[in-house]
Amino acid sequence: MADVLQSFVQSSLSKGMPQGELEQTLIKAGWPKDIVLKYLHKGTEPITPSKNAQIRMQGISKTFDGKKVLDNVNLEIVQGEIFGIIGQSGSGKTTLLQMIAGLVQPDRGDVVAFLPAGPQSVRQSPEAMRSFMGYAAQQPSLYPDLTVEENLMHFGQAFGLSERAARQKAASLLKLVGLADTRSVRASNLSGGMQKRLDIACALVHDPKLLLMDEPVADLDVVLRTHLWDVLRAINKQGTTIIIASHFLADLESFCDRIGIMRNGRVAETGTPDELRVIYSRNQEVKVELGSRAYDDLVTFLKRQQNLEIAKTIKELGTIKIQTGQPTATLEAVLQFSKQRKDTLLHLEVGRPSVRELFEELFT
Amino acid sequence: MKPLLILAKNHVRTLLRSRATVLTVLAVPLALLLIAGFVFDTSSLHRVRVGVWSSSASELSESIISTIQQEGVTIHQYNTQDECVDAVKQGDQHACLAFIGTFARGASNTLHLYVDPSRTSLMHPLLQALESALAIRADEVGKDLATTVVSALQKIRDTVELRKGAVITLTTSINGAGHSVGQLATAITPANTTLDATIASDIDLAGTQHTQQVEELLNATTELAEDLQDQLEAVDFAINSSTLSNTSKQSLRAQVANATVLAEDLLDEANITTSDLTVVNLTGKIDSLVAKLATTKASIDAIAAVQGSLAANLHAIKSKLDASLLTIAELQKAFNDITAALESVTVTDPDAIAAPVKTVIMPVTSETNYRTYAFPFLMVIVLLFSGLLVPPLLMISEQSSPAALRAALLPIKPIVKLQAFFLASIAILGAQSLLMLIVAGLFLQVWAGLLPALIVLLVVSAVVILIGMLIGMLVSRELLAVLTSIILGVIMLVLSDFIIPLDTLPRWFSVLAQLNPAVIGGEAIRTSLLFGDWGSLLSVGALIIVGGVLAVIILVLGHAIPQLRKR
Repeated sequence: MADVLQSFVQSSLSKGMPQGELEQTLIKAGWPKDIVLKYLHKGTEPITPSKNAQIRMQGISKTFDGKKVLDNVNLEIVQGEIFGIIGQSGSGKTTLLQMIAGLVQPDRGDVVAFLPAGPQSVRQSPEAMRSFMGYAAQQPSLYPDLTVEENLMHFGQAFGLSERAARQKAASLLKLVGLADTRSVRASNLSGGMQKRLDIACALVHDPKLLLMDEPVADLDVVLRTHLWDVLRAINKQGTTIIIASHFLADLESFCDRIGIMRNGRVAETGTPDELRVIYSRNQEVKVELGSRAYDDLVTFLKRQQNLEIAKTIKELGTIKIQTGQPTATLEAVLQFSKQRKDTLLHLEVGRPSVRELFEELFT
Repeated sequence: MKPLLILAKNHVRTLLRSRATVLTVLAVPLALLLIAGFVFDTSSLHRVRVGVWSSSASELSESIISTIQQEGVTIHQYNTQDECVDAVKQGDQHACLAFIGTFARGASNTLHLYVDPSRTSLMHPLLQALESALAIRADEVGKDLATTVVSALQKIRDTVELRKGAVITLTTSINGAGHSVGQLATAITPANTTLDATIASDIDLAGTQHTQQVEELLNATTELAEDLQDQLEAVDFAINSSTLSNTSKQSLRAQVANATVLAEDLLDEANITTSDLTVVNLTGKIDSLVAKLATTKASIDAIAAVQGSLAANLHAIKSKLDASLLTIAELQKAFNDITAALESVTVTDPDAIAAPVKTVIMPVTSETNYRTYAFPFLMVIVLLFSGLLVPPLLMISEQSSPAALRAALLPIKPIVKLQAFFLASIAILGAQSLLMLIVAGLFLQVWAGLLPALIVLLVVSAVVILIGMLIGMLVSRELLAVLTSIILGVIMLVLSDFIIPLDTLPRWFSVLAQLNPAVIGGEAIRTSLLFGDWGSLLSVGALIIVGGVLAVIILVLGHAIPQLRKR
């Protein structure tokens, strides 16, 4: 359903249909008004400034080679929060981060950073912004011919640390990211995951108050990922605002205070993970674990039932998740199936779909 | 540490972290100078090949060939001139010497030297060697010829001097002879030898005066006889001196002898003693005397005729002698002119005549080999290409480095980043300069020139680095930057004094080329390094101005380009 609506909206807008006319057309076609409005206007409406904003983006637009990457984005990041950005590839996540970092200038609008010295336009005071923030890009940004410690020392000193302070900071960061044993190894000789950790350490070397991270846990194994989230959480607790763009939606769901969903160059929705689940999911999720694990039979059984409104079934780790608009009826049907088959019902849970599932629902 | 130094240090460190880069940036210039130092120890021509063709072998041509061979040049003889020239075209020989004509001493000789100007680097030593050999032989030949000429002239002068004395003697003799002939002619001019015989008849022997009259007659007769004798002697002499035939001379001499006898008789006749002065005797004596006088008179008349003829003859001789004297005077004048002309030739040294101006090339440096040329040249080349390549490569490698994003996010102003590139580049080129100067100092022993040369090298480096930075700012791809730098470097090298002397090129081009840092730098490095000339620092003033202009352009671009890139 979301697919159909999305492709129709995109097609109509690209053909030049006015937004108001498109809105009326969709409503007349029977689409719920709230959904239509979300698709058409979300992320473009002016924000209400908050008192503790860290970053405020107002009316940001950016076009690369005729392609609109950001389209009238309004977004506010609050001090001390961990803000996650999700969206499909090419949705503008990285551009948004680069614009906050001052690496890309908006065609329209402005990014304002609320620094200790007062609000500063990133466009006008890029140096002030850079001292304030750390940035870890998708690809590690390191000098491959320098050692791990030399990289940290160089960036630390370039940010104004004395040699001694930079050395001390490097040592503590290397311990933090688990690279203490590789301080004399050239960056080019590190594995991808180690480079990623070193890159994050470099982003942290000057104790930034704002940390921008683009896919920080890519290339990291589960253990390191967990460790890194712990590190970031610790850093956040010290008052550092963190903005993360990532595809690891499950991690973001558990890690971020708020999440922004980007679609077609716009921030389609922002909110806590729970708020997003409420907003975007009309279905609930029934998670079932049968002793026989005969989930194909279960799905066939459920599909034969009337009015269950089964939207999607997902088999995962010995369980099956059934997204449905009629959770009570679906529960009853599952119980009936297990009773008929004399199967053991090991686990039964009803809840909202995860953000990842929402993401998949929205974008696939 | 200030951000500028931190960035510069990092640029140098990242650049030198690669062994290949260290090798390229430091070891190659060092090796280059060391090789040049050892290899350019001599300017040997042992590998230089010269083809020779001679239309007819001569001692002179063989001698020239021998001299060239002694210079170390390898000689190959060809049968035809075309073969010899073709060998140069095909690269078998570096030059062809063609001896045209007989090529003998004393002849007008032409030597054709066929060279291949495309082999510019070989032209100088080749021509130097051949010119040296040919000049030596030409000097020798010229000296031989001059010696011959000078010897001949000296001989002429000696001869003239010798003959001049003879001419003077001859002149004197002829003069004397003329004078004598003149005197003789005068002497034999018929005198008044006539004696009035009537005197005798007028003597009045009866009178008282006859004794006195007789004495007067006798005295006159004696005087006449003596006079006649004198004249006869003169005539005899004149006959001997005359150009008359021997027969005539004999005839005349016979008459003179006869006349002489008559004169003697007459003298005897006049010798009358007092005792004879008696009237009787006297009358006889007088008659006899008168008769003698008559005879003598006839003889005198005959002699007078001879005398007239002789006088005419002697006058003719004198005229001829006078004419000879004139001719001899002219001859003497000619001799004097020749002597004066010979004496006007003040240069008598054959060496000075054969080579009135001797060119002796005196090197102003202690070294006479290629090092003095090669070291400044190589230094400029190294700095030129390093300066053009290092900054753009530093800038582009920084931009394309994985760390580019993080570097871009440093809170450092773009101008400081540009300064850091400059500082890192000048540090690298400074190290190169120092290394090269140490090597140059060791080989050339020019320690006094090292400090001014280092300053010059740094100024040259600074300007070239600024040009390199411009390339790095305008070109974003490494390959393109390298190509641009190399092409620009080659252009600057070609438009420098190192390959073609700029002063030999059209003036407008020469003036344009003078703006080339390689030209100004090359000259300044040469004078400062070889002669320790601090004044060369003044000559790089133009470079400093050029550098200032470049710096301004870079600052403007450094401000504009990041803004453009962000968009």
